Amino acid sequence: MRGRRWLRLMALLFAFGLIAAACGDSDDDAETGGATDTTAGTEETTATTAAPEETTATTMDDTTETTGGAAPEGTSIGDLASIEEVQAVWETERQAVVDMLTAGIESGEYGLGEDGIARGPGGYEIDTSVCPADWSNTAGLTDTEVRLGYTTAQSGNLAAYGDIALGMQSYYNFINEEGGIGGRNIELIVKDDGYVASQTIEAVDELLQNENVFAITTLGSPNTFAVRDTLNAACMPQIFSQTGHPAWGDPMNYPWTTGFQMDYYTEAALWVQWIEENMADQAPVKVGGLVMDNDFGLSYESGFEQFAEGSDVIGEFVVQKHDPAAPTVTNEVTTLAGEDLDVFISMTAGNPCLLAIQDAGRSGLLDTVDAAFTPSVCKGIEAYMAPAETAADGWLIVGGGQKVSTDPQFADEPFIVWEGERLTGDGLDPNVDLITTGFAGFGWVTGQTLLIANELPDGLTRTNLLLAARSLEMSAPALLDGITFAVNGAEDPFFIEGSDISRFNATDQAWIQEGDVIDLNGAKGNCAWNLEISVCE
Amino acid sequence: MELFLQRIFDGLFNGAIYSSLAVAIVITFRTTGILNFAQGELATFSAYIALLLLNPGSSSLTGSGLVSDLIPGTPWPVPLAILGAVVAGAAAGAFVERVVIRPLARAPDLSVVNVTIGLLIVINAVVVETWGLRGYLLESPFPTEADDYLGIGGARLRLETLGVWATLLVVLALLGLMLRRTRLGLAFRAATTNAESAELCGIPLGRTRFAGWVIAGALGALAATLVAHSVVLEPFMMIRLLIFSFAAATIGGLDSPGGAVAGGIVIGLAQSLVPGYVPGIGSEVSLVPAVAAMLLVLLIRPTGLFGTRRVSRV
Repeated sequence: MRGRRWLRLMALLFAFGLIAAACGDSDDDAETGGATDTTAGTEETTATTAAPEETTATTMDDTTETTGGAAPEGTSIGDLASIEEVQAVWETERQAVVDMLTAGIESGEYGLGEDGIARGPGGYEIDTSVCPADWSNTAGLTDTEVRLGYTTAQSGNLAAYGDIALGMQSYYNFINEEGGIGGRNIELIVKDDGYVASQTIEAVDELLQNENVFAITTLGSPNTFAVRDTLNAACMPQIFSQTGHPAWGDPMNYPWTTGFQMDYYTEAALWVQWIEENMADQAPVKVGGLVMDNDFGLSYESGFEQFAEGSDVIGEFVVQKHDPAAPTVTNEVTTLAGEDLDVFISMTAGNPCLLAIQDAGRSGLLDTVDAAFTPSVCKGIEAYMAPAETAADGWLIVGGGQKVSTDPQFADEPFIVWEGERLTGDGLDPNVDLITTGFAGFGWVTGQTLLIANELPDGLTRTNLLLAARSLEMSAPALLDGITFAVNGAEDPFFIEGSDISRFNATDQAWIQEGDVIDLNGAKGNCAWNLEISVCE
Repeated sequence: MELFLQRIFDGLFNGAIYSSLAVAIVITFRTTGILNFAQGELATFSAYIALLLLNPGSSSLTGSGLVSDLIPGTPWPVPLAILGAVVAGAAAGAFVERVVIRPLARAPDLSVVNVTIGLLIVINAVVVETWGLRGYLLESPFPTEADDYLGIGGARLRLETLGVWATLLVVLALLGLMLRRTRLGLAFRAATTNAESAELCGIPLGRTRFAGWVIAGALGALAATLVAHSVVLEPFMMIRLLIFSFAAATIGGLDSPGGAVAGGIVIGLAQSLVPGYVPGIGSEVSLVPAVAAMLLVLLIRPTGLFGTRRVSRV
């Protein structure tokens, strides 16, 4: 009998070892593009969740952005009288990009040369001579369609992000009604990967082999990592990736991949800056982070760590990681509440954003800290803030410059009104933030880029699409005034490098901006991500 | 000490969440002899019914305010809406038993279990198609504001925790009475112990199993409506809980409602205390304490904490 007991004990220890091993390497897998874990959290985009009643929410992070040039001097598109005027501004801005690129192409400076290299502004180059033998610059285009592939989470823990596809489709419906891209309709082919990177790999294989797509967009940091090498090797545009990981700002090594939204490192830097400016007299400040345990949350963590390291004000940074698939974050918040923090930062996404606010209130954590930040991906009022009731009051956000579509202060802007009408006309709820994110953010930017590329010499091609994407400078509909939406080839690959810092007012259910917006356009250097040590190089 | 107490309270709350679904799983197992993988999805469906009853005019939920036209007096108060969800859950259980499970009465148990996995996928798809992917916060029948708690030793015992536990214990007591003191309870035991003999003794197997599905459907609905406020109501809400609830049911012995509740407590406490005090195990691997607790219990007591020891003639 005794022997049997020992045998059981050994079996138990062995089982523990297996579990620990299995759980331990999932992140690595995800980062290297391997198999991955599941979980969910998408980062970027926000999640939807929660809103009571019908309502909901707003946009997240990704969404939209805006502008830089073109609009009439001193005017923002929010001040214009009608959507027609807004469209006219965009047309002017598109034409400016077309003119700039066309002039370069005609002079031989830009465009696809005989050496197989497509050149663009800011030293941007794509070498098509290394593309597969059967590669075509116009694959994915038919006489009637521009076929776009999209992998997203429509199942699993972060399935709420699947609503982004609805908003994107709605914007494409508008473009198609207006004549499409030079007579071709945009056809969006959506594949569900459940936010599991290994499934993203399968979905992308299917898009590459069976769906004849022109370009692909992926959602999620682990997912985008998982297929980035494949897509660049296939010379397939991987445009406007729906994640704020800084790694997408690497046009030298990954010329076919672009990001879109404010990156998480910029957000982390602004957290540090705020703490230094507002809490210097309390140094050393102790900061606690609730981190979603995947590429998304870990990039927040590593970014904050790096910026905090050089700070004289921040003395200590403690972290509690939570399983992205866990139903609650109560245990983690309780542990942080016992740490006697000065600042609490939620570095998570989706439902856990709301849960973190609720639990911070219930655990007493909010009573003891001097400042609490919720992440930019959780800016949605109806989804994340309103359900938390009074516990949401006073939270700070580095908001990525996004306008929340349900915020009363923007309700009369012509784009917001028009967006609501279009979405409603397509049977969608304009109060769901992820839907507006898809419409005003990803749908808008993809549509504009296709329209520009189509006007370039040789018309719509994959290289022209990338040249257009790497040259955008427009008035993005969902960005606050003062935030520039612009890139410049390989010199400045980040579309949005600015943010508001806002504080939530639970009484008015609105984000109240504190101070001016911060616009760092062009300030952030490229990021060649080192997977081994998780830093930009 | 304060932190330790708080972790105990947290563990009890999460334990209540896991226990409530585990009890429904156990009831199905006890009455029909199968594990119903679709139990959580039936519960999620029912929670959306409660959401409809609470927000009858919401165009994003119903498309046209149909509910307020058809059902008088909506929006209903929270307890009534929960009751409505429980009735809907019972009806859904009845429907599934009649239409899907009953035709498989003579099929091996494993086939039926596979069918419930299929049901999980189908019901989930119906929920996604009907109500979309976004999440909602379902109102709780208990006070949930930040200051709704009892201060004990510096830690906070939330009134919501007390409310969910009180409800669970009442349900448990009623279930115990039903299983031990009624003819239906006797029939349940007979049907799962030896179906053929039970049938020969005149116990109507079909009706007995039907009753089991109805009760489990109602219990699942109650569980989902009680916990949805804390985990956010969305189509995949219960899938996230299912693995922990199955672990809780297994720890308890699979056929004991009380055991399922004890199992839920074990897992809830393991998740709150192990990462807190055991170096090297972080809370990001939330499955580890749950699975480890399950392994430990099963190694020591293969039938679970309160499971019935099966004796067979050889």
